[in-house]
Amino acid sequence: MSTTDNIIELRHITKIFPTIVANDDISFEIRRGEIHAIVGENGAGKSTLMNIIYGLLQPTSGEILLNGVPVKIDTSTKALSLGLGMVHQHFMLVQDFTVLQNIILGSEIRKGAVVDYEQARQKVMELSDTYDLRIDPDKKVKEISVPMQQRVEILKVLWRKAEVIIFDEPTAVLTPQEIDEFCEIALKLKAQGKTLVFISHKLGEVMRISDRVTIMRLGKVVCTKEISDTDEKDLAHLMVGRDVELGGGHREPIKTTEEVLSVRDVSMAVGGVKKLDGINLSVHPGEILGVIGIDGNGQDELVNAICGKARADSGEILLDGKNIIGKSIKQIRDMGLSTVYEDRLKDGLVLKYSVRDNLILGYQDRPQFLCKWKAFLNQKAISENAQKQQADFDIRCGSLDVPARTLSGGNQQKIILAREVSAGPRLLMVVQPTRGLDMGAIEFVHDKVVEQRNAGCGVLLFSLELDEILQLSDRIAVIHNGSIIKTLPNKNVTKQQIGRYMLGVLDDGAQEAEA
Amino acid sequence: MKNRFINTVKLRQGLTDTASSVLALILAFIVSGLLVAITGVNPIEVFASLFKGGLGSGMALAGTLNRMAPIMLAGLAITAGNSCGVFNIGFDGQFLLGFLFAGFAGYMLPLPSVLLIPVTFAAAILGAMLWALVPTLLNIKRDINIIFSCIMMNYIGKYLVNYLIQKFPGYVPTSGGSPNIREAAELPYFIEQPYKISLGVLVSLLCLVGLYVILFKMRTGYEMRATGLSRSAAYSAGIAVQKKAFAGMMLSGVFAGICAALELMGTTGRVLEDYAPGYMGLGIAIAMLGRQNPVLILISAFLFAAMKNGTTLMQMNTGISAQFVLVIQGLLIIFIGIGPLFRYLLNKRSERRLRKNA
Repeated sequence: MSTTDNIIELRHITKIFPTIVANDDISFEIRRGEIHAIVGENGAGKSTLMNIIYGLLQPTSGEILLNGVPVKIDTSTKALSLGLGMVHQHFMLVQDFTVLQNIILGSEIRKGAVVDYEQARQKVMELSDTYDLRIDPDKKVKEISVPMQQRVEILKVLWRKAEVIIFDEPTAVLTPQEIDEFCEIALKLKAQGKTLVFISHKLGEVMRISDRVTIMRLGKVVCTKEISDTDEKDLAHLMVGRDVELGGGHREPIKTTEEVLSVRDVSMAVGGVKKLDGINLSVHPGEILGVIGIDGNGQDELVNAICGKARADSGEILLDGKNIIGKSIKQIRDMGLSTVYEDRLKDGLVLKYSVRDNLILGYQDRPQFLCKWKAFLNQKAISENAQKQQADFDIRCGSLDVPARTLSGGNQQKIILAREVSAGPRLLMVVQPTRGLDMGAIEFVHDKVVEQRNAGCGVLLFSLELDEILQLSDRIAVIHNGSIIKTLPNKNVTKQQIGRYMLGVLDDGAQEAEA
Repeated sequence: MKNRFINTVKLRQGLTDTASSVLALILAFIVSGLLVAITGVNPIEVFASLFKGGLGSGMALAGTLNRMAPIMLAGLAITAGNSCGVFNIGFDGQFLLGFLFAGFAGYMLPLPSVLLIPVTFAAAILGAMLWALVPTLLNIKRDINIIFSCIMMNYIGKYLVNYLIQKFPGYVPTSGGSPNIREAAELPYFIEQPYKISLGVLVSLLCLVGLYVILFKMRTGYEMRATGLSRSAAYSAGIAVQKKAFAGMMLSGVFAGICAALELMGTTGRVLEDYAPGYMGLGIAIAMLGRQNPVLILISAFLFAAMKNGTTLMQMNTGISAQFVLVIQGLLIIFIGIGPLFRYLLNKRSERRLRKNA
């Protein structure tokens, strides 16, 4: 094999940050015209490596060969000029500019001192047609959907004549149907001779479109495999270093008609916009109800209405039969609701508080943590509580006195989970509980959630990850445009079916009312 | 458990805090020393006389301790607010109102010492809290920016006090202030021999311990600090964050009032016109150096008191103006403020070293 078959060759790339070795002697090559997936858990060093290739970071040592020639990529401009483009996970688009303006921004075609939009439009449309991207060049970016924005990002890279396109977690923000479309686009790009580097931790897509896959763990390359030589289970094993069992394991069947939470005809407007429109749902003790929907269809508002951060305009929310609308966060909490909020850094933890102190946040006024006229904290009880939770939830930290900020995401989530679960709630509301966590931590969180369910606690799960909903839920409620448009038991359902509901299309093919 | 008595993590945290405070302090002295050197005066001499005046003799030490009392209270006032996430920049106004109320009570009420001193304290606290209450309520009820309203209240307070002094019965125009308070209202010394140490020192130490207990031992302090460190997390946990911020501002007002009472009963003896001892600036500096750590607060308050006490000797010996202390104080705040920059540079350097070794 001649060296020019490899468009990019990484040789002994090492990147050392003051506290960690993010990339440790990374060597592998990317062949011309292939789709090369890079998989690994959080902190495996995937993003660092991509940032090095794209010129945003400099390696501590090692070299990058492009078409067999060593190159020094010190800025992203340089990377682009060498034919390397990157589509970031968080899009870098100017919301108020049109699609066309965004695509050409920074490398415009000029006619004298002004931008030649006519010519630019023509060329952009040619590109768009070549890859069947079907963009509308005159819409403003803020008016178009997320997958469309992603296509704009792809066109931006193509416009700059990139031969290699790096995708950073491209499917994280997409629904199942949109992921299908993305895969088609990826294959079309490949068919046109582009080389794709595709970072992901969703193994389904990796298996579907990649030619080869490189697995990274703890800053090192585990191996590079032909996709035909591996399967999802094997990849997961290589990523984590052991077998992973998601879904929480054994379940006791539910045998009650009692409802721990019942939401009836709840509507709520935020800033004059109706966000919740007659929501109905119920959770039984000992079951997990998974609420799935495309981001922004009212999930946040529903969470806020239930936990007491927002007040529903009409309808009723019954927790154990008692209406909680108008009650404070604290009152609802004392009535038996525990919440694991979506944003653990902002809402779940006081980052500068010690692990010990975080383990009583929100429960600091419970009698077991107080002494002397209920005004003073019982430090001994708080420490004992912390030691118990640390043991029960395997919270790994140097000491219970270190600030929560210093822990890994998984361990931070364990603090929150330990705290909320040990309060013995009637209803446990978990919102995106595994976002940004690695496989091992996800497995742990799933186990604990199912454990609560088996202990007779009602669980209301919000997630944007369809896989997670399917793995955990006993029943699934699909939220669309502020209403629950479908509730069904989690039996014999397909991703495609749920995906259709998420878009508001019901079984009889009718679009939901608003459309 | 390796050691039940010394908590190593907390100790290390304390040491890091101390180290960065000390570093800022050293830098402040170096830069201000350079400034002095530019004017042609030997900086060593300046600092030497500054500290000789503040700490050089038993007499000087006693003076420094007596000065420390109101300065520390100012530091506690700012610390109390900061802990709950509110920056009490209205301290000056609150101080002046407390000053006025205390001056009025100490002058007007014919009571024995045992009663008059507590009453005067209470009057000062009342005045200061009243002045803290206005911007806080405006903020809660009408969402008005508390920083702006506090600054405005400082000006209103200043002119209001100047005006009201003239309404004291027995006011003598051109005397520069109200008549003197009763002898019964003067703060007694709790140590007479060999040097006189005012009761104020004891009061300030009690306040320091009090704040520490509230913040770190009581439930409400846990909630207050949570609010100050992460309002969103505290809110999500069901803590009434607005009430905690309110409590923080009021607590700050209480300390401002005590500070004013100490100043009046221990130092000035009457309400002065245009009185601006600059305690807010010192308070901010102490709060930044002290980082809620009682020992650090005590040390930094003592240090600033020593500097303030030493200015007279420094001015006499070297001709450098007393305002020089303000320069040191300002530099100190800057150097503490750019602490993250130091950390960034240190990280950068260790990264470069690693690259060289790799």
